[in-house]
Amino acid sequence: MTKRALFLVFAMAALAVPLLTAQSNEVLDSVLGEATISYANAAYLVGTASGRFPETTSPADAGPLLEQEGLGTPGLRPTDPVTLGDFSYMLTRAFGIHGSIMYWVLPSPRYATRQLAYLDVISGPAKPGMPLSGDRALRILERILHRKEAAQ
Amino acid sequence: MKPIVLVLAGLILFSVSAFALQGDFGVNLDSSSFLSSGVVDTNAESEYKAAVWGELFQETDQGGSLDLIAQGSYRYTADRPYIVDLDLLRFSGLFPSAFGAGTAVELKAGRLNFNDATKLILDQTLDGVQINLLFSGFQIRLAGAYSGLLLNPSSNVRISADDYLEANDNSVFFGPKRIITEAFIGSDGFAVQALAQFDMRGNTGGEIINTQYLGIAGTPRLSPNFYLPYHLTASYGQSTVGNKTTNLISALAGLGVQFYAEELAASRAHVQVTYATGFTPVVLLLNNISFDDFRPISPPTIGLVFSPRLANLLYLDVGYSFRPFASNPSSVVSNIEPLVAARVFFRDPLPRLLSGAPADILVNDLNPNSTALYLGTEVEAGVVARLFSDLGLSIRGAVFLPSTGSSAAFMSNRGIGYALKIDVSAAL
Repeated sequence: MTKRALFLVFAMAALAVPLLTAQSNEVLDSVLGEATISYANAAYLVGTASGRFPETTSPADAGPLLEQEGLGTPGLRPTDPVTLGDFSYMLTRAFGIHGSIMYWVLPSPRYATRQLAYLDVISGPAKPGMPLSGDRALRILERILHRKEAAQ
Repeated sequence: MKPIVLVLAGLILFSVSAFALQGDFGVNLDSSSFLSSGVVDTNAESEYKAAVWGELFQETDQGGSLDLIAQGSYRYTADRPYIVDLDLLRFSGLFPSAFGAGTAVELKAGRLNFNDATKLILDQTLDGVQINLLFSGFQIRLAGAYSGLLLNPSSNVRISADDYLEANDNSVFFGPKRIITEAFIGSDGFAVQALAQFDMRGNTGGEIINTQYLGIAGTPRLSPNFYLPYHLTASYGQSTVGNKTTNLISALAGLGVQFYAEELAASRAHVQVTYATGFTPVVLLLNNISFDDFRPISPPTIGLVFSPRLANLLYLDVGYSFRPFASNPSSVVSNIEPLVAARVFFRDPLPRLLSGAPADILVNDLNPNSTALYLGTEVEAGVVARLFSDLGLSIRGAVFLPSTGSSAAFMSNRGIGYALKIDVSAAL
């Protein structure tokens, strides 16, 4: 999918969810340009999409803000790459996605990834340690928002 | 042994660091309990299985991937209290754009599942190689495999009388030795497939059977909710005992309708008729051969209580399942799926039409004086529930009502058969 098409997909999802209507093109461009999404941008996407903080928040502040709520990944710096497992774990906590006994017993990136793959939120290979590109992160987030919308 | 382990460990470490392989592992626990009664005695059996799997995965350019997965298991049954087996050892490589844009080559090698388009002829884990050439709208599959390294309890390759005798023989360690080949070209709507199996046991004094299959199969979509599954297979084979070789010609066919509507509580329904030839003692003019029993490579399980071999059989299978709480936001509740099904069994009518007598069917308590074709009806009900992403449960019960009486297919003392099957699976 091209960058512009992805942007359109994301914009359509954003139209359905008022919380995302004002996502800055600057951040989206930055996310789409990342072969491996940074912790700052991943935390920004998760935090704004779940309504934890406004979209005017700086991506650099997003990680610490999520961590204050127990949803981030302490130890990662804003420029550090985020794996599929890290991103999945942020999403399952921020959106309250459960449904796995092992996730309940041992909440972790590993079981968060499996849960999202089971729900078809993650399509394709789903290994917790995989590097995560910006466009794949956006697609995962888009499916989460669709699920949330469908459940309402 | 020690140097080999060190070399393997070194290779794995090198692979993980040099090629940025992703690793994953897990444990699967399965329990299956089966209770049946009616025909002879009440019988209860359970199987418990614990499997450990590990996977190495690497993404390559343009959406390709390299994947190595292995699974070993420990299985307990009352008959065989220790079965340690290698369930899966599969290398998969996906190479996109191998023949231009929109194409791909998928290579699989090792111990993996092989099946034909109908899954009625072949559906079995084997050791071999499979190549899929993926084009826009159709694919070509070529496969070759060997069945002789599978443990006997894990092998369902049963074709000759010797194969069936060995099935419950604890002194036989490995399953039947056969080379199996497969070629497939087509799409979901229409495909042509060819299979063959060759008995590799050599001259043991028993019956050696080689079989070849050529057929068509597909499940075209008739409308947004209806599908038309069909298949037709002709089989040719050679049965050799000592110096005498008999040619075997047989056929398998099926036609049905499937319905699926997500909006109607994820309703699924199907009606399907399946036909497999039985021995017909009419000599064809060409090559002095008769129609014979159809012989699948791995016989399918047809019913819960009554599951005859797929030979000399005509049966109607109807079923319906739905998810009454499909729209419930809780995935625990929404995945509960009740199901009902019924199967009506007949013998192949062709032998009686041509010779006046029906062919024998290899089940207990058949009435030798009867020429009746109707064998009985099985009714099944159950619930399948994926309660959590890592916990599944299935409870299925069935009743088989045999056709009994002085002129009916079964002896009068054959009772109604009952079966209850409970499966639980967990992924850790």
